[in-house]
Amino acid sequence: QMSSAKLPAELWHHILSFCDHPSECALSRVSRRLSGIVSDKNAFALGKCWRNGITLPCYLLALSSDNADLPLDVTLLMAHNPFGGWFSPHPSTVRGFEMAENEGGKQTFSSQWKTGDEMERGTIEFAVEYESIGIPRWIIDGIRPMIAVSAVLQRSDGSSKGPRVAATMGVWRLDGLSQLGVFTSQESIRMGVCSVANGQGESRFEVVLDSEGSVHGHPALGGSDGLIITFSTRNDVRISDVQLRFDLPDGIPAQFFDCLAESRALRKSRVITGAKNCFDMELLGLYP
Amino acid sequence: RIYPLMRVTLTTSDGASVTVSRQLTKHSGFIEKAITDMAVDDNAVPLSAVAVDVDDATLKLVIEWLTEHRDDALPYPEKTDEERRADDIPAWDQAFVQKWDTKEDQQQTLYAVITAADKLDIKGLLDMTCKTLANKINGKTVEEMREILQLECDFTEEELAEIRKENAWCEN
Repeated sequence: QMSSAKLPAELWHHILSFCDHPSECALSRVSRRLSGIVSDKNAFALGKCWRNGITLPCYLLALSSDNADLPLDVTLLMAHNPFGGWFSPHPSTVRGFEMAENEGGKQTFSSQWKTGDEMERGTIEFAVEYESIGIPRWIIDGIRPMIAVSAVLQRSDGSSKGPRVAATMGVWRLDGLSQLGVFTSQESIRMGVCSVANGQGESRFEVVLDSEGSVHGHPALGGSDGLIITFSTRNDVRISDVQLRFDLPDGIPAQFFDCLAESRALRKSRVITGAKNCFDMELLGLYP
Repeated sequence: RIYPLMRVTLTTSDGASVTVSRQLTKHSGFIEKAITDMAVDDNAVPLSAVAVDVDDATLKLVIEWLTEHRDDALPYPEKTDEERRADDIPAWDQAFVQKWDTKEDQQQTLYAVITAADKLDIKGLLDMTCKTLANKINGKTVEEMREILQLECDFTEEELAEIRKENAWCEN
């Protein structure tokens, strides 16, 4: 008689490819054999990564290989290579800007004039969900990589008067799936604020989020689910070369498991209490 | 070229014989390879039956599925992990699997068909049945999973405590 215990490991790997991550974690606690299969899947995935030229720090490979609940998504890692240097995210919102893309895929956003020389406030937003680019939550929660964003800001007419653009980088946190099956966010923590107002025709905007940063007692990265980069202006500007990079530390942080637990508590508490926004751009006087 | 009227005899692991159209067996990588290995040329009918390591009852279910999917495009489209989703099972397939659910041995039938699809190398059926099992598991607690999979907890208390500690952060 057939039973789930008789399914070979290869078939379980195939079944696991259709399972969501929390269920995969739960499966590793069902029985010893399933725990081993989930763990083997990680080891298999890491080998595939290595063969495809995706280099990851040894400690990350060891952590994932030795712990069934610390998986890496090889397909997404190979598609995005998020730890391989600078990469260009796609905007999630473009309002009051015209977007152009050259043959090399380089995107430029130019603010649009309204009639009567009145500039409408333009906003470009890049919302990047870590898991969708191959960075699992456990890396964000426990390893807490440094995240940097860079962009070239240009005043279209070359003049140098007045403030030009407010730019922020921050994190957002998901509460999980709503009844409609879409992610909902009740908390958005933003930091890494930059207001550019220089006398040059062109300047580079660079902001870094590190593991030490915190807003209102929350760690900047732990417990977060994505990153949000916002450019906002009422001036005549061009924004290009928006790039993002994730830098991993040289070794496993000493507080790795504590950080995981801390982030877990953060995720749990916000589900129970429903956290509120703790950042307001107007309060920080960002908008000129 | 495969002629629609060309038929192939399959012998099951429990000694039964089933004759099916090549239109159906073309979806099975295993049977097609066996036929190719046996035939003297591309269009020849195989001289002997193809032995499959699947019992008669399971093979009948496989043939029922193949009959419905006989016109599916070949080769079966490969999907990356990113493109994989478990919620796109066609309505006929859902009804097909639902039919087993009325049986007492529903899970056993599912495992048997998953294994048969793997042995016969029928990718569409393998994906569909694996998605079905994944859908039964997704979102369930560890205890519910044990009940669905009919597995006993064989961890020691210490091992369980350790795993719980390691996994605690991702329980949400």
